[in-house]
Amino acid sequence: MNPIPLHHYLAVGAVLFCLGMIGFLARRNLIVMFLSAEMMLQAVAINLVAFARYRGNLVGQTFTLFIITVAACEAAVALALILLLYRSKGSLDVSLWQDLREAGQEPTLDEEPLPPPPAEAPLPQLTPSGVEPRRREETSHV
Amino acid sequence: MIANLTRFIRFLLVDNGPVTLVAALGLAAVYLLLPRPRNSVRAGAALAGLTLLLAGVLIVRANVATPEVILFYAFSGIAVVAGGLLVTQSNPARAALSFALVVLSTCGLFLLQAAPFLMATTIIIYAGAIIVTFLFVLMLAQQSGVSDADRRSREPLLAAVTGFILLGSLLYVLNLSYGTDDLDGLLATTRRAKDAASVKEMSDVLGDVDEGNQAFFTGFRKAVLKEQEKVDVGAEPEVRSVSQKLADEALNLQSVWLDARQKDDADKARAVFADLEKVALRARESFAVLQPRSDRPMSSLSGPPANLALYPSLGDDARPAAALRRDEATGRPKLPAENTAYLGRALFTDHLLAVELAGTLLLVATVGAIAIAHRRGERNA
Repeated sequence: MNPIPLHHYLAVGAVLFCLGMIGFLARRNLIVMFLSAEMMLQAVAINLVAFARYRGNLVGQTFTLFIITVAACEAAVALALILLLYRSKGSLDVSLWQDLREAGQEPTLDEEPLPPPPAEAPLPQLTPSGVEPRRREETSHV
Repeated sequence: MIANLTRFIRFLLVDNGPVTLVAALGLAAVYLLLPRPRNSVRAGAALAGLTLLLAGVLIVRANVATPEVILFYAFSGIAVVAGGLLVTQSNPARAALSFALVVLSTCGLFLLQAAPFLMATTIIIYAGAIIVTFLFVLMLAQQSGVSDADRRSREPLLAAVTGFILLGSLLYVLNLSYGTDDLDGLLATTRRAKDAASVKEMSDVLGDVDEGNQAFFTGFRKAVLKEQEKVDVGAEPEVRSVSQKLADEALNLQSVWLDARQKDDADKARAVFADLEKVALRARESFAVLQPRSDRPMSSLSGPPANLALYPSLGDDARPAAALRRDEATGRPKLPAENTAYLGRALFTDHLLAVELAGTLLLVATVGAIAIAHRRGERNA
């Protein structure tokens, strides 16, 4: 009976890493971009822990501990930066900052209009049934 | 040019069909699922499901359903699906929650790899602190639900192509270096032959009885020489000479076996298979292994030093294999059960400077985060 071989863990790590890379390249929300970067770190951590098991040696696990430390620092600083960026533009969209691009680079413009947001469902209304009873004129009983 | 192109296409489709197919399907699925103004979610979801199914059929070849195997595939399946959701989900709060799912299933994989302390740390720090902070910032910044930026992607096609080309090449390299399925099969046959009672039974186990078990030994030599055949140009001269030596050893053992079979000498035959097992283990060890030279002094405080051989060697190496604390059943080195204590020992002996640096980094990051997020104008107002 063989245990799960090393390269299966490495393959899971590779898949997560590539998905994270696609997310970092394609998404425009700053927070989702940072989540994708964190996922890439997780993929690397899987690889390191698998190597630690493979060699029977704790160096890989130690390295993962440092990855977690650095990820925590990165999250703290990144979130502070995101807050700062949000305060100056009022949005998390990263393409609002594209005037920082290289000289001679064409700006990306959104050409295709977004479809209108789905209409809000109307509030429920009771259908009137029968005949409304005549209201009595209000009289004062003073 | 044309010849090169056809060779490349044949390399993609014929030699590595499964990897190419899975990568291409995944590419199409992720491309369709990435948020865009005109999104075709249903087709993308169907393609993604097809990709997962196909990858499952191609990858999962476990014939025994041990708890480890089931847990591994469950955790990695959840991790991959949640990762895909993170990337393609247009609502950032849901993306953060699927990241939590990725982290939790990664922790399951850590536990399978004998790292309970890391599992606990990752859950506490990632799921407990980082994701909560992300959600906090998200709610602070984006109170009106999904914004316009979340419904568009930057260059979805190019990003997906880049990612899946990287994935395809990574999987190809992994398969090339670690794909030892043929060698593992031969190893299992060898072990069964070693345990057989008589010479005749051994011969039956090997198969191809009339030709003197030629097929088994030819396959064995071929599997041992695989490293050399596949990466003929790139292989290190050292690795090449090792696999050539092992193949020669297998050839010698074949003649010894034929001799033993003729004389019906069961003990001698058993010795042959014991040696053959060592050859196979050594060959598997030499696949895709980069390790420091064995004469370098290395610290043994974090477990067996990295330059110690993984498998018992053929006898030309003086190191005792017992020093590796190996597990008899699985052939893997054992990790100490007191994971936290040993991790602490490794941290505060071999990696003391790194621990101090990490502490300093945490302090600097805390101060930096406060300094960055601080509103300067408000104190006077």
